[in-house]
Amino acid sequence: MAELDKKDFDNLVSRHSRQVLNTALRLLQDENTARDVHQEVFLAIWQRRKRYNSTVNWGGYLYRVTIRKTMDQIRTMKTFPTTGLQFDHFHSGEQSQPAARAIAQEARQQLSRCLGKLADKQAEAFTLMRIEGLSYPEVAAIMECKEETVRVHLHRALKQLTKLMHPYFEKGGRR
Amino acid sequence: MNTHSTVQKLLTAYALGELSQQDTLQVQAHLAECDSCRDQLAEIQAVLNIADSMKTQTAPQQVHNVATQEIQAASGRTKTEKSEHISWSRIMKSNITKSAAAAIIIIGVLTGIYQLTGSIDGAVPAFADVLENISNITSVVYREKTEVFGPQKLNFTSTKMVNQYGIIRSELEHGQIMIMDVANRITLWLTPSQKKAERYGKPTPNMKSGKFSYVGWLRKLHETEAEFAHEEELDGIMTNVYVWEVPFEKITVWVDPKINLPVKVEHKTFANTEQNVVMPQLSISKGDFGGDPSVSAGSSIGSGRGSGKGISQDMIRTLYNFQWNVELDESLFGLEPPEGYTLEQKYTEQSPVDENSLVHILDLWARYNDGAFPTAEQLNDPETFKPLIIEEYDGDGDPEEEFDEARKEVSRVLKGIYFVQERKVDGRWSYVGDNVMLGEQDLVVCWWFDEETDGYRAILGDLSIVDMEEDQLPTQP
Repeated sequence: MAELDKKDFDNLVSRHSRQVLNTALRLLQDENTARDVHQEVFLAIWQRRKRYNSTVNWGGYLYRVTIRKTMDQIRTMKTFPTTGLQFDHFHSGEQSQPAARAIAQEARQQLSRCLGKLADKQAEAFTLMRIEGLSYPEVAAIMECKEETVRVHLHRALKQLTKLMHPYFEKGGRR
Repeated sequence: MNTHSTVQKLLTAYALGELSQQDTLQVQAHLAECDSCRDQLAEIQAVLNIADSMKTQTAPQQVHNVATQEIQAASGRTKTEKSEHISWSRIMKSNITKSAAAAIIIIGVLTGIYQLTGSIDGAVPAFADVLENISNITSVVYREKTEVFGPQKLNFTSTKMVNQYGIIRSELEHGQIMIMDVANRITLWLTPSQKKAERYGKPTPNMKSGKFSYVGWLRKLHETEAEFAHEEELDGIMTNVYVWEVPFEKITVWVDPKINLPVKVEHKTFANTEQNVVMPQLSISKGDFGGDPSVSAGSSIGSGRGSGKGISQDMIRTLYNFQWNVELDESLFGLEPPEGYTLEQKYTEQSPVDENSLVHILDLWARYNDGAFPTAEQLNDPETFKPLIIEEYDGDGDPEEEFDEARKEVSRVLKGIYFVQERKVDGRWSYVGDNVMLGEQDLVVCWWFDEETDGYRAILGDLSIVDMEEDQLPTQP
C-alpha cells in the first residue's frame, strides 16, 4: 500500500484524464454527464489516496472504474426516446446528413443503454475491445484474466447486445 | 446438429472475423441460402457498426480542459469552492460533500446546484426555462413547512432567505436562527432568547464566497426533466404544474406563467419499507449525562443523500410565499455572532460514511455485549445503540463536554447504520453476524459488493476488512 500525494495525483490526472473523459463520452454521448463521471472517477481515487497499491496499472484500472461508473450512470438515466429509428443508415455508413447524425447518436445511446443491461464483465470486454479498440492481450491484462476469457465475454456480450437491440432494429423498419 | 444451428452459433465469431477458413466457407455457403441467418448477421454487424462509430469520438479540447481544472480544484481544496458548472450529481456523489451533508444536524437543509436540459412540446414553457429564470435571481425569501410522518413525527415551519452568495438564513418558529454558508461549510446557530451562538466550521480571511444557486428542492431535476402535468388554480393564479417523480421521491412545482417562476414547491420522500430500509436518526438529551434534560440534540442522515433510494422517511416539504429578488441586508447572513452573544465554536464530526463506520459500530456493540455482534434487526435500529453511547460517554466529567462528545458518537453510529442501508438498497449485502463472536477471525460477520474495488468485501469476526471472491461468500443462515 502506498499513499498518493497531490503531485502524484495531478500527474495521474494529466496522464489519464483524456482517456477517462473519452471513454465516458463515447458511452454517454453527452459532454456534461461525461464530465460528471470524469470527476467522480478521479475524486474517488483522491479520497482513497491512502490505500493505493503502488504497483497498480493506472491505465487499466481507470478503464475499468470509468466503465463501471458510466454504466451506473446509464442505469439511472431515463429511457432514451425510441421514435422510429432508421438503422439501415449504419449499413451504408451514411452519416453526413443532420438527420442521419441524430439517428446515429440515438443508436449509440441505445447501444449504451443495452450495455448497461449486461453483466459487468461482458460490458467491460465489449467496451474495451470494440469501443476503445484495444487488443485481446491488452484487455486481458486490464481485466486480469486469460485472453480466452475475454473472448468468451466479448462473444456473449455481442450475442446479448444483438438480442437487446433487436426491437430497435425492428422499429427502424428493417423487416 | 444441422448446419443452420451450427452456423447460428458461429455468426458472432464470423462477424468478428475470428473463424478459421474452413468455418468461414461453411458460414458463407449457408448464408447464401438462409434469410434468417442473413438477417441475424445484419443485426450483429449493425451493433458492431454502431460501436465503431463511437470509437472515433473524442472530447473537444475545451471540455477536456474544464474537466481537468475541475478535478484539480476539487482535490486541492479543503474548503469547497464549488464551480457553478459542477452539477448536483457530482457534488452529492463526492465523499467530501457526503460527509458535510451528514454533519448537518437538521432534517432537510441541503442545497444544490442544478443543470438541466430538456423541453416539453406545446405552448407550455419547458421547465428548463423556469430554471433558467431562477438562475438569474439574486435572492429569494420563502416559507418552508416540513412534515415528517411515522413513529418520529415532526412538524415545523421556517422562513428561509438566500442571498446572492448562496448563504441561507433559516428562521425557525421557536426563535432559533440558522445561518449556513454552503460553499464554505459553515453553520452558525443563534438562540436569541439566551444570546447564545454555536458555530460549526470556521470562517477564514481568504474564504471564497459562493454564488446564488440555492435550489435545493430542485436539485434532482437536472438529472431528468420535470414534466408539465396540468394547469391548476392556486390562490387565484392559474399555474402550470410540473412533476418529477422517481421511486420514493416526487417533486411538484407550481409555476406562475406570468413570471415563469415557482409559487409553490412540494417535495415528498418515502421510505423503502419493502427492504426495511430506515433513515438513521437518533436524539440524545443532555440529561442523559447529568446536565439539563430539556436540552437535546437530534441527528439524522439521509434526507438529502438517501432520498430517491428510499433511505428516507415519509416526509413532505412544502415551499411557498416566494419573494424573488428581495433586498436583503448583509448583516442577516453574517457568520460572526451579533454583539452580546457568547460564541461556542463546535467541531463537526467529519468522518466519511464508509466501511470503517460499520466496523466502528460493530466494535462498540460487541464491547458492551460480551463480544456478541448485533442481530440484523438491532443493526437497523439506532435506538438500540443509544444506551451504549450513554454508557460510553457518561462519566463523572462535565456534562457539557460529555454531551458534546456523545453527539459526535451519535453521528458516527448513524454513519455506520447508513452504510448498511446503502448496501441494502444496492441489493448486494448480507449480514450473518448473529452467531459470530468478536475475535473470531475465520468467520464472516457481513459482506457486500464494493463498487470502488469492483469486488466483494467482508468484515470478519476480528473486525478486519478483507476482499473476497464470490464463491467464498457465506450464504444466509
